Amino acid sequence: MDIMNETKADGYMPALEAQGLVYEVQAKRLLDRVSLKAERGSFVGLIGPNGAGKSTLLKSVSGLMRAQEGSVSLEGIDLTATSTKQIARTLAQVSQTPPYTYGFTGVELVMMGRYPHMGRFQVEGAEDRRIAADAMRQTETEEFADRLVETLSGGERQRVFVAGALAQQPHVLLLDEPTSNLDILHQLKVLDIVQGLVQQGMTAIAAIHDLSLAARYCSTLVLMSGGRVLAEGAAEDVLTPSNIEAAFGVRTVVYRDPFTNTLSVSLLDQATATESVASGTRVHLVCGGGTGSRLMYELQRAGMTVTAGPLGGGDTDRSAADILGIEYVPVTAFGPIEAEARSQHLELVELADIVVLCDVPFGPNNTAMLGALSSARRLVIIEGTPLMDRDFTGGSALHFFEGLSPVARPQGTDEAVACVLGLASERTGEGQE
Amino acid sequence: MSRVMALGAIRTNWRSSNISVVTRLAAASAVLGVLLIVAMLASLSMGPVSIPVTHVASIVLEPIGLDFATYSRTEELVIEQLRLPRIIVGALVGMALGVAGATMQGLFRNPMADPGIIGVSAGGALGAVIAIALGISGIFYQALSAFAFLGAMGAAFLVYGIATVGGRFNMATLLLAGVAVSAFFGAIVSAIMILVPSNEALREILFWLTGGLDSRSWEHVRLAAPPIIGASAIIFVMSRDLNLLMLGDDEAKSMGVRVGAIRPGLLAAASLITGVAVAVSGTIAFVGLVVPHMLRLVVGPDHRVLIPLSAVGGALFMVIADTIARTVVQPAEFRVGIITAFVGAPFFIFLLIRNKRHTTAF
Repeated sequence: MDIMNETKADGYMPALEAQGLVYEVQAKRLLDRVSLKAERGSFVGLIGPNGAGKSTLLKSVSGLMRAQEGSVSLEGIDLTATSTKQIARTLAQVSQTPPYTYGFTGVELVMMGRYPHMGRFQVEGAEDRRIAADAMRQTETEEFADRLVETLSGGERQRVFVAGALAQQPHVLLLDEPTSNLDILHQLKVLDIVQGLVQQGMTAIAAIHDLSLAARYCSTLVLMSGGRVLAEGAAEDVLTPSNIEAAFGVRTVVYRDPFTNTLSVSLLDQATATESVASGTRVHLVCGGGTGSRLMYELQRAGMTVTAGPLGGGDTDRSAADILGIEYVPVTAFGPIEAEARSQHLELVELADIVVLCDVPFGPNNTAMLGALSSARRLVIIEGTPLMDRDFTGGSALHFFEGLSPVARPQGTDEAVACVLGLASERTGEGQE
Repeated sequence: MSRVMALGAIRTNWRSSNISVVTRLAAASAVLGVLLIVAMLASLSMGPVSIPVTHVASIVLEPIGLDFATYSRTEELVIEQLRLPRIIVGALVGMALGVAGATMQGLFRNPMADPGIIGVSAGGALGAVIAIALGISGIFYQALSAFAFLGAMGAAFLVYGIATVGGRFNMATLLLAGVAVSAFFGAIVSAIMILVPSNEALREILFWLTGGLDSRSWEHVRLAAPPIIGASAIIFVMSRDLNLLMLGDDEAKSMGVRVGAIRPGLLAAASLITGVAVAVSGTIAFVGLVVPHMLRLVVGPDHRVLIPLSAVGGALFMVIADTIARTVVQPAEFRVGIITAFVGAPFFIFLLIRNKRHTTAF
């Protein structure tokens, strides 16, 4: 499939550019001075809540709807000066739900994409058939050529429609939530196809519901809300918890997925009912290897200030602390804890109203931080595993523990959360008296 | 069961991606065309006076110099002045209803849409009934057809006008307005039938309302042929646009169809040919519904094939139905409108039941 990719000698021109679009229906602004620019060969993702104006924007830039104000230019040519057929030769669209196809077969449907290239009295020739076959090969839909489209599954049908769009030989492809009705495998398949096309020089603009998928596939993200653009740019700049909360009204954590090396958005529990009781309490966690992640999240959600003890590079708890923005003492993985780290740790213990020692194993390198625990105002020791079984120091850690006087010894994380919340409310209760 | 599978096999091979639209159209038209010629010749030979097919062929082909059998002057008159014009009007009406039915079904994305869906048939009936009630039909020749045509077009404009109120055209509103206007006109027709003074006029009204082709002349052929053939050709030219329109307005538009121009064009052409058909034959039921549906089961939904085949198929269906109407209760005559519904409805039901487990063609 050849995609025109020449750049004008006199300079740069975006594949599609919209400026100051305003679209109003019954005094409600669906688009409020929205501008959008898609560079050639880019994959622009439109994200935002329902009713943010993504579909309206897509329809406005494709000429299906005409915005009351603003302008759209497609490869440098004003959209209003372009015929429907001309637009269809440059720009193709795939809608959210493939329409009902009334007994058309796969190849008949894909062949419809040749419409803008054919004269009124023309029938499809060998060249058209070749282009349609190419489009079906790229979307892996050859096997559906002679099947009725309505007998295909949602994902297969969506791919046939993408093939139909490709048969138009467009330079710009618009997709309005192309994956929202598909299972995860077909979501990836459809987006992989689009990404493949983008790598060949196609420009794609897609409204995508799934923020992590959008971050993974798109080169630029545009976050919309209430008919306006809230943020646009690289995924790292757009997908911040504060942007997401402003647009969707939900609390999230955004982190880099270690497996795909792409940004991933995790939804947090939205309730914050306990905040009033426990807010202001400082809790310090001695944890590692994932023993403290859930505590960090739960206690921070309850409104407490959470800090953590020494955490080595690559430790799961350290990643969690990074994601949640929790202060901790950074140390080298599997190395001895330096004096500086030790004093930092002690400082955090002394500042804390409650110190929690998680279910961590003890070896020669980390016993050093146990000394600080005797300075804790209130100490909670989680004993999911008996101390004896996680002492790898030959008894010195165990010996040290005997000198500590914890206020509670919960058996697991859930119990520990309840315990800390109880202690926190006691503390605030005392404070008020 | 095996026949169902055979039909499925024909259909699959028939619609294989290797066979071009042109080939498919040519093959199917050839088959239906031959059938139509055979049906027309058979129809010409049948009637109160039976005329041998060789005589029929000789009489019909005489103008182009093929005069190979001896026939009587009476036979020549019966064929040329009575049967031939009637059969040609029947074929034209069948063609009109087939094409208009296929078009309306495509435009409304609904297999139940019939040619009169936007009030055209009801309007035509009202026009004709007014002409009969006022006694105008007896005053000058063709007054009945003229009134029926005006009524049909008036109804189409009214319904289209209702659907475009406020500048935003809507297919659902068009459909509902068509139903409402049809019901309204139907009520007026009923009122006139009750109020009409003479039994003769009442009988004439009933006669017209069932639709028929009796005493159709060359005059009717000359009236009906140009608009029906012309508008059918226009629809044929727009048949690829109709394919895309079936998928949805946005889909069609995004593939380059000028929806705002093509759809009113198709609606106008389909309404015009329905109006002309109603004007020359009264309201004839079921042809526009059965014929495209039947063909769609075999050739698929591509309107580039379906529209021309519906034209030939509709003509064939009407010629056969009219032959039955003329001959089954000799020397009396049934109205062809009764036959089309009487034969068409059970056949349609048969198709529906047989294809229930098979994939729907619509």
